Amino acid sequence: MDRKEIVALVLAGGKGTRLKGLTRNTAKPAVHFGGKYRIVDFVLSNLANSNINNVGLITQYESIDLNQYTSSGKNWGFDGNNSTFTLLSPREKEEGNSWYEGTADAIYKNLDFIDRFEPEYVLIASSDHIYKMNYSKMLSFLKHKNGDVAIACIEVDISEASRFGILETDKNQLVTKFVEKPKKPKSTKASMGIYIFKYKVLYDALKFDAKNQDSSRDFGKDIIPYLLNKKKKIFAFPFKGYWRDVGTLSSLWAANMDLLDDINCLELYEDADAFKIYSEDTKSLPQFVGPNASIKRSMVNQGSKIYGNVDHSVIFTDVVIEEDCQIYDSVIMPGAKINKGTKIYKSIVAPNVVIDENRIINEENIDVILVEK
Amino acid sequence: MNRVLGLLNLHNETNLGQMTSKRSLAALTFLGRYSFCDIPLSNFGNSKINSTAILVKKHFRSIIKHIDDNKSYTENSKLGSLYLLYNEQYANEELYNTDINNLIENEWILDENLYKYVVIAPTHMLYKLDFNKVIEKHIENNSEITACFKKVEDVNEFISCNAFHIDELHHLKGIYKNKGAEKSINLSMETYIINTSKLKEILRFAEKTSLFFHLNDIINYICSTLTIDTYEYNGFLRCIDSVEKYFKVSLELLDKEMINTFYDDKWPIYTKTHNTPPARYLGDCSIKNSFVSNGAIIEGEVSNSIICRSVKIGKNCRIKNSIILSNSVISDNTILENVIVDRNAQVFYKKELIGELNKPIYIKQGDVV
Repeated sequence: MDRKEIVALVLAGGKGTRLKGLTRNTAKPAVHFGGKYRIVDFVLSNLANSNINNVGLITQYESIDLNQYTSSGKNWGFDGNNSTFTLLSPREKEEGNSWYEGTADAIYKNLDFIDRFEPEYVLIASSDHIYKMNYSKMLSFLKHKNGDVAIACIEVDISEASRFGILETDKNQLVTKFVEKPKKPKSTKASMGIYIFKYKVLYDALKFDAKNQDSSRDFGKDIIPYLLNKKKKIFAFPFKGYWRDVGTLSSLWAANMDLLDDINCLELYEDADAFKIYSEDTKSLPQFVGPNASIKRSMVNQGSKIYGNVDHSVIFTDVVIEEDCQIYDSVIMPGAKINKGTKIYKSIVAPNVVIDENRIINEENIDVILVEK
Repeated sequence: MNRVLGLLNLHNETNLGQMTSKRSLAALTFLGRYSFCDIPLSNFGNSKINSTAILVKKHFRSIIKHIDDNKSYTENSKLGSLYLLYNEQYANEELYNTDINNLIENEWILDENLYKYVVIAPTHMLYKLDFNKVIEKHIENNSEITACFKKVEDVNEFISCNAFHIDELHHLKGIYKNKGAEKSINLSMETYIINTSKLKEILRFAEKTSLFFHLNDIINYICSTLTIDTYEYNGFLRCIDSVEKYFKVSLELLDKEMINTFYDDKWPIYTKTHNTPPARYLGDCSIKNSFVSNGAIIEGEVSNSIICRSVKIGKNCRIKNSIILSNSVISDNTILENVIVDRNAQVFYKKELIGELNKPIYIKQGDVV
């Protein structure tokens, strides 16, 4: 295989337990978001738009949906010349078989895959976040700084900083300290879990870590502190823009609502062809809005049929909302059917759920609830 | 289906005046998301006809732009093909630019080792037909040519369309232009199943008879001496032959019952994806009885209309009985009724445009008004 400058590995193996029923039979990156997308579309579209076209997707937990959905990477253009898209599930090897035990271990067990490309750089990103980012700018930044590692970081509120991995830097963005979830954070620069490594540096660190019995095999907890100890030059790449973790029902709901409250938050409706978020296409008619329907402050995808009232909600593909329904502040996932006269407040309705007539769901309207089969 | 070649014949394509002055009808948007050619090509795809070709008469660019690969229409992207065929020699000579001459020039496509049967379908006749059923009957009757028709009573909807004289043995005995004088007619669907070997014979015959003949002319010419079987179709059928008809048929499909006769989830219409985000409804918009495509942003009032991809409807607009094609912008406080706004147009300075239901106002592609 030809040498590549950069190869990307996307971590998509996590279970996402806090999404409850939504990830019962499916991996978190395959969960639906924003009326038409799935969470993984964002990182894969970012890679495509950054012209990084050799991608490995690391899967482990309930991977059928995700494998089927991403398949050849065609939706993101990874079926083009000199592009490759590979699903990396745990495999049996000569020395035995085992599951991925942590983010670093998942990459370690696929070093042979990376070796095929003889890359100079490796990009590692999780697939749990909603954001648009041009990684090629991050690569240029790392080259310009002549560093070993770049970590993308975003400014967070000091009150929230202890939820993140926090970077302390000097005035040249050189990272001087990295603390995972500090109790008393000294900086507001949070790691976004997106790394670009010089491959040589990553390789040595992973090889070393694999021998360390005490390691938790985690990039934030083990690999980055190790590299800092070794006086490797790690730079914090500052990112400005919309970035959300959607790991819980309430954060998933809130990020969907963000799309309604600020049409520009992800710049999905920019005129230019540049930086689209790619997703699958469905064979459905355009959405149909019935004669007595009302839709306000909402986002609706193709194939839906709306006969009732929808206010401040995100309606996915092929959803049917019958007459006299009232849908408020809700996220209705693909293929769901809401029968006549039902009222839904502040809910996430899971894919393909059918809700009976005249039900009232979550009238308390305080916490987000999940409606599942 | 193996051994069948699907030919989409654009040589008889209808003329929609300004709407088709820069594009083929095949590439004109329909129902907000499709192009007209998606419908026959999906009929081919759903009938498992993998090998297809389009006989293009003119406006090549508009067709190429829509069809970037055949993967949209077939089940397996490696099996089958989609060729665009045109008559290089006669491209600019209207009289010579016939479907027959196109096929003569591209006769290599009619490979008898690959295809035993050829299905020829038009793009201006909208219908949903499983060609397997027609081919089955074609084989059962041991036919060489089968012509498809529908018995229609609303003859005035199909003025100037071809109609068939059919005898009691269900054989085609002549083709004539419908003038609306009869109570009912056997409307030609411009759709034929022909054995590949017979089609090649027809090409030879045409060369000797008249180079100005279209396939329809030849069939009319030979049907008195050759047995041509017919297949009666009973489903949805519309002919798009004018801007008014385009307008009427589009809005007609806003009816719940009507759309179900045309569109079936089990017989989907495939099309090209544009990766547009879901449609957005902002603030105090109001939307009733309409089709809305992805990427549209609606702030005003829309009723009984078709809003295509990435259209913007501004605040306090009142859009009624109208079709707004892709990427057009209707600025704030505009009132439109019975209007077709073609692609990339902007209704900006004109604040009120009211056409008639049977004579809609048409705003050309890219115009600012």
